[in-house]
Amino acid sequence: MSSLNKIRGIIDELWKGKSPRIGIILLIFYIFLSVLAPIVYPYSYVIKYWNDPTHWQDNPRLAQPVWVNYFIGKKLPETIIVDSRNAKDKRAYKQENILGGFGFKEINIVENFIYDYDDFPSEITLIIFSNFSGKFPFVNVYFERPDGKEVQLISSTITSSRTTYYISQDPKIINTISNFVKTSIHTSELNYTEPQVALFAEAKEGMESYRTAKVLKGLYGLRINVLMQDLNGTADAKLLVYGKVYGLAGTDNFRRDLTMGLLWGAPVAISFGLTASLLITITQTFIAIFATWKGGLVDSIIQRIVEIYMIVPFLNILIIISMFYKLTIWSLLVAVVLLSIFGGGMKGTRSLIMQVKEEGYIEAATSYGASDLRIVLFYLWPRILPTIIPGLIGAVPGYIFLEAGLAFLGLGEPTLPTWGKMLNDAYNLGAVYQGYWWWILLPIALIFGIAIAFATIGYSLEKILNPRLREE
Amino acid sequence: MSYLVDVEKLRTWFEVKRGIFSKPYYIRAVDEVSLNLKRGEAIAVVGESGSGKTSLGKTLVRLYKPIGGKIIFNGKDVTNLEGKDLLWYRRQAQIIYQDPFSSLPPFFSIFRILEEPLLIHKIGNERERREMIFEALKNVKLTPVELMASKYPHMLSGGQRQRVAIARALILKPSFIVADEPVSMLDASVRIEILFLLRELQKNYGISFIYITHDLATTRYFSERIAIMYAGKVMEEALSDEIIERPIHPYTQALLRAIPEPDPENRKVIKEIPPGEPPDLVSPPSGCRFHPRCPYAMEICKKEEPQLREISQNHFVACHFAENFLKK
Repeated sequence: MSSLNKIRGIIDELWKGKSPRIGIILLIFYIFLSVLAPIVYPYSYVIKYWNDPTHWQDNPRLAQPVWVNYFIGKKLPETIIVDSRNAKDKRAYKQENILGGFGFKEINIVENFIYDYDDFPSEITLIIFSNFSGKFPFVNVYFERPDGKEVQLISSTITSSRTTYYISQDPKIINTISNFVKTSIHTSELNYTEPQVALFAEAKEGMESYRTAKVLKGLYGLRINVLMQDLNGTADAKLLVYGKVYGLAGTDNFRRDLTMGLLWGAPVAISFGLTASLLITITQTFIAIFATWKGGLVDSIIQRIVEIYMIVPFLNILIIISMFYKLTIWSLLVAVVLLSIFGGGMKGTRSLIMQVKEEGYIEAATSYGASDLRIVLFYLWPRILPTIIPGLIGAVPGYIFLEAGLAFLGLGEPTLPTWGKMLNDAYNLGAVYQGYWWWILLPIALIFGIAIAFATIGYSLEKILNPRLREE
Repeated sequence: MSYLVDVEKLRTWFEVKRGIFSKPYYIRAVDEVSLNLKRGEAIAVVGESGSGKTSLGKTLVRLYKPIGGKIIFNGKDVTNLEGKDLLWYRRQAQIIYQDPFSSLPPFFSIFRILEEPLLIHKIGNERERREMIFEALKNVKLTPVELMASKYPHMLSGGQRQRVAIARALILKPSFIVADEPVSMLDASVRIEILFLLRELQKNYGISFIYITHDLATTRYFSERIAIMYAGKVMEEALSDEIIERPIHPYTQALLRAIPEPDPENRKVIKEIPPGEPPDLVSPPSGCRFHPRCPYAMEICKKEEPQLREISQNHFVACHFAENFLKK
């Protein structure tokens, strides 16, 4: 009861200061993120899909976060998906005709969507799903624009049950669009055409290039006409007009939703940093107490071991270990703890214990028969505990940085997303030079924030628990 | 005659290492001290700072291990006990410290402080321990006991803390207690109360006491016998009244002269204080250890070490010229 009151008193005192209050608010924010992460994206889901590129195909590539719109005062396009397989999607109509006399079946699909964004889409893709037997079906795709113009994008046979047309990349389709531009603006000279721009631009001079084109807002439509000999055959179409913004944190080069990575980074970082700091501080303190209390040869040997540990290049060994054994974040944690058990932190604790063990009540405990173990556990430990807690909290950012640093070097957790790994991906794909700021700045901001949270709380705790540091 | 505690030629030397290769040297804190204590008797060990009296006390309760001599407790040699046997002795012999501010763990409640010895020695169940703790608090007059038991040391005054320390020493019902200057850190106003309390408890429970002090004035009221220690050795030992009325050793005489007397006539008397300081215990003076400070020192005092011998009945003195001083 009294220790609970004590903790409450400490928190009250922390709340009084400005910087620890920021720390507490930040920490609450991160704890909130950590609780949210597994609710929004369950662990098994993250493990299964984070590194699975097929899962992310409906997302735009390298999209900025949605909230960018508020800052630039423009409405950047979001991804539009119209899928005729989805019966609830009222923008898609499907109609089937049996042309009995000819032995043909005709399937007409119309997919309409309103486009009223201030920028052009980033990519356009059409996927046709078809079940058929016998001869290959024939497909015609027409693109209808709000200004009444129409382009026939595709006219070909389908050879498999799933055919993907990359409208913004396929050279044949680009050529068709280029011809459409030529007739629209009455010119014969055209160096290149950006298909996703030309299709959504006002039919004026310069509509072929992103720099000069203007967005034509309004109702667009895609007419898909499939002819097949199999009267039982089916056909469906899924149109993907990829946007330029996505979600709260945008997407990366693999179309992954970065919100998931950022969110999951929080519990991973907190649990890694806190567990590492806790385990290392507690084992170090226990060994320090034991060695100092035993004294003599035991103490000498342990001190020599500590001195050897102190000159061993910790990071280098860790890197070598991670190169030889593909470490998950939990085995990395074990390695870090093992490499730090006899770390230099013990020297400081030892000097403190040297002082405490001379206190009268320790000798008194010996005089009424307390065993070594009892003195270590019940007399030295509670006396040392308040002095090591600030250091414990303050050391957490160090371990978070360590994990992020190793992940940045490509030596981190292979399956779970972590902030360091996101930065590693961003670095490998040149995000800095390409200006994919959200991919770099968001994880960095989160790492900074958590470091500030723990550092301010740790420092302020030190001032409270160690009154000598109190400034008056 | 059987004694409860019989100390023979006890030597507690502390080894000091200067380096790995150089020979260690020794601080001779207690050097060939012989002492005995009857059941229920109180002996005062008096001496200056650095005379080895505290080392003697801590050796007697086996906080220090002697390098020579014997401690016989109740007919059993406890000099080199280890493990289980030592734990048994820890229950029989207790120590009360000088500083009540450091001798109580600050993070335990008074209840827990008193419960610790019982838990260590596995005495009683929860309810019995509770009764014993309240009983002990009642004995040292810390009431209301339930309120006191729930407090922490920092909530108590020095006198109250020393009472807790006394209660802790008594709770195991020991037969032998070493009280190491139990009142020297307390306010003058509570000193005599604590001394009376100790005396009362000693009489009630028949505990043998070694009362270590530098204050000769309080010893007479507390102990049957007094032993004067100087530089790790006993210089004189006799019944309290005897020593105070007829001190023989020059050192004892000097100590007695240093006691202030509440007589206005004495205000102009200049006190004679033995000059110099207690000697270095690493290399004590040859012969009689008091000779560099002794006003009566002769050639023999530098060469031969005087043995503790019975001068008159139950009056032991370690001085070559004890007989001469007796005649005076």
